[in-house]
Amino acid sequence: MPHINEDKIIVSIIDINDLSNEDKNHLLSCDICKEARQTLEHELNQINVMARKFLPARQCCNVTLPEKSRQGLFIVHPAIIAFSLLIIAVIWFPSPAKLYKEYTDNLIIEKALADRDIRGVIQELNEQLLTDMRVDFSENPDSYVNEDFMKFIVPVSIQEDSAGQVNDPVKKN
Amino acid sequence: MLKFEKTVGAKPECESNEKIGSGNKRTALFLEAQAGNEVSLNLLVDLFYMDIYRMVYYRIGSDTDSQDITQEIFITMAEKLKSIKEPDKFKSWLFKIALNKVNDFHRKKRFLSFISIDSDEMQNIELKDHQNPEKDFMKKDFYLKLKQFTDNLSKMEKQVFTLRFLDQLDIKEIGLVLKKNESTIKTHLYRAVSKFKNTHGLKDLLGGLR
Repeated sequence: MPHINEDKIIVSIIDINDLSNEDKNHLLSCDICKEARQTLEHELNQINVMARKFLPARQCCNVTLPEKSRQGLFIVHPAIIAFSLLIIAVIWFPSPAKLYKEYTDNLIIEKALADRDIRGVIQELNEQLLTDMRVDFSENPDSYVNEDFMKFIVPVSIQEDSAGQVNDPVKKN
Repeated sequence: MLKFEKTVGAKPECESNEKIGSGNKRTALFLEAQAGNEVSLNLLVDLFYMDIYRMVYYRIGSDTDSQDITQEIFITMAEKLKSIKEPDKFKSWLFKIALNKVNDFHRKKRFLSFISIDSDEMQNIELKDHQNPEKDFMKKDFYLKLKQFTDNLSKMEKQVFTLRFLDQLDIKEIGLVLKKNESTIKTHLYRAVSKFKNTHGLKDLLGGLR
């Protein structure tokens, strides 16, 4: 069997189970392929070895953790405080939709009031369309038409007689 | 504001990792810490301190900043430990916190350099071990070649490669940290290792150490 290629060597390093059984068996039995794999694997593992080696010299685990007892009931998580404040704000302050509704309601009421006032004025004008003197006229349209005035307008000579015929003085002559 | 009062054991060497690192003990430790046992919590910190510190240090390059960030990571761990349902996922969860903190740090740094408060790039690792110049040189060489190589990878390849070979996480853990499925992780890892194999520099350095 030919030696396994470079790609398969890499695949075997990443996860040997991704190789076929045939390739796996070859890798176990072939010294050349085994060495090629070990060399690459060694080089890659050296990265961690070197990284450990060149880490600054220090004392291990220099970490200070929060004191457990301080995390009791009296210390409330900031997220809880923020959430509570948000809830209070939402309850306390009206929502923009509510504000807008109030605003539009007020506008409608104001308009309705203005309309009512205008209607009142119109009605008043309607009722008092004429001045007092004219109202007298309008209430009794014949009040100023007396007999003399009528005689002036329509002379007696052309007035109808009782039989309904017109006495025309001109024709008479 | 929390007050920090307890300092976890200052040991000359971190030996606890080997002693209590086996799976069942680690799970037991995690469950005890989750139940509120402070000793177990401190042991859990001991167990993962060096892994997390190393992870942070090679992504930031500053010892002081790495210490601060590692501190923050373990405080977050202590505060949110109860949120974990499966003990098996603890390590990947911790690395996820670490990765987020590192990303936050880089974001903050970028912002500061953008507004010219802090113009220093975090490109150069601190080299302050003046007692051993040879080690300093090797350290710098290693760091620069590692950086040079990872800079040529895509963001995902870089993350997968460093989590696998620098931090020694397995495929499943990397998948949990990066929230990707295992086949995606393997694909990116395959590409990164192919590039590693065909790139001089880091490979030559590491190959020469045999």
